[in-house]
Amino acid sequence: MLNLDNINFSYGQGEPAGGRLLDNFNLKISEGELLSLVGPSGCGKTTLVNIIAGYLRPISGRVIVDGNVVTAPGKDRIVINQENDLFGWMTVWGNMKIISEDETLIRKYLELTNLSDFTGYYPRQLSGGMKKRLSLARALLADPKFIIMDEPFVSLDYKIREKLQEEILKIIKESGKTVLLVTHDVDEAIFLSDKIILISGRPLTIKSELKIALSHPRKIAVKDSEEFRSLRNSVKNSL
Amino acid sequence: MKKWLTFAAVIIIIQLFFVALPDKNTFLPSPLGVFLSLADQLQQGEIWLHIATSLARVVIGFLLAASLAIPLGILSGYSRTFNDFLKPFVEILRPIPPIAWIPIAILLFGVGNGSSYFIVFLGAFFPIFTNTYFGSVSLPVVYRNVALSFEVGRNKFITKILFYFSLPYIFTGLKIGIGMAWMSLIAAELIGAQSGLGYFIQINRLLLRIDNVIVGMILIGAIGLALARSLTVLEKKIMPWLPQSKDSSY
Repeated sequence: MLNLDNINFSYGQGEPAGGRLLDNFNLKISEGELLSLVGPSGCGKTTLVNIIAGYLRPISGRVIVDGNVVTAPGKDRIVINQENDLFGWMTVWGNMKIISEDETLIRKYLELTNLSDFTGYYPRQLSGGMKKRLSLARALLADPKFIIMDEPFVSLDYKIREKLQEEILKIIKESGKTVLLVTHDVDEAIFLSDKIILISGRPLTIKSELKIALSHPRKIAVKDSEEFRSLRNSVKNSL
Repeated sequence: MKKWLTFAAVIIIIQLFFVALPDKNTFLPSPLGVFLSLADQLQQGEIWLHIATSLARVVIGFLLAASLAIPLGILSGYSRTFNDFLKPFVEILRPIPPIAWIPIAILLFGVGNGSSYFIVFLGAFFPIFTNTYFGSVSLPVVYRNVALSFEVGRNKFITKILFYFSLPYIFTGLKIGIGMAWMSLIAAELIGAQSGLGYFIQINRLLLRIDNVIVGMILIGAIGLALARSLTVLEKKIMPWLPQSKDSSY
């Protein structure tokens, strides 16, 4: 599905003193998988997201999505950003409409994300959780092969975050999309993922991989289970 | 409303000062004298013609400036190449005060309204252009990235994203621009016009009717304020997505 093939990257010219941010980095994500990259802030996660999205060009190496080499940003890979990425001057409906003319589909995804009653609202009038759901609805509307979520829950408070994680996981699993989640929150990663990859920075290195076999649909209560606790412990030990 | 009460109080104090003055034979008219002249002028009717003339000139020149400055500002922010081409012209022309153009304006457009439109245009163009450009280049990277990822076409990007994002900046430019336009127009009318509020002041200066000169000044101030206010009202109407501030009249 997604294949990162020997990616090299550093900011600026020449070889930086601290070494490259990405040094022959490789990663594979299979179809329909929700994979999390978990690592400390500043280790190059967001840079990696920008390379996969096509906003940054690697010095060398290839990003391959479904057999096609990525050369520019495109509808096949949609990023849901950490910050608010909705157009503030467009209503909920307008934010969807600029992506697609298909009103039936727009209605379908607004329904799916529980936003049908808010089509005339501006982003400013929505709660943090609703904004994220709209970002997801917009992403699904573009029908990408692959969704990248870059710390999507970081700006939300704890209660909303857990509820939203449950909702978004359900929607994503039903859509069957392949997802890369980038986060530094271990609980969030375990709860959402099929597989966790623990990374460290400079250069970005895979420290260990962990399969998460928790069954779907997952409820927040699973965080209190024995299975979840032991997963959390094994992640903490590897970090 | 409160600020207007203090304003009225200051006028009354000045009036009292005039009443207390032993020698009434000054060149400067009292507030009451000015008020009576104002009422007189408004009744006579000729002043309305001057008001209408000046207003028409400022509105037409201003609209011409806005309709050119906004697209150019947006495009300058969008395209580096276009900006590099336009920048030297803007940089060298901007510091020239509009009234310095009067001789050229008269050569180009004669003494009619054409010259006035041109002067107003020059007064309004640069603030509108500069603010629009500033808005257009400050589009956050995340919006550009979203547009790229969703493959929003270039025209849609410029008209639906870049333009709307820049609108608050554009309105700042329009509000500064209308003030500049109005001032430039009055200055131009003082020098070379046969009608308008600037002309009205000039003719009354020659007639030594200082009360009427002040009437002209008051009207200029009031109309300038009304023009700026109407843009503030328009701004709130056009951009309902912005949080409404309590008082943004300054």
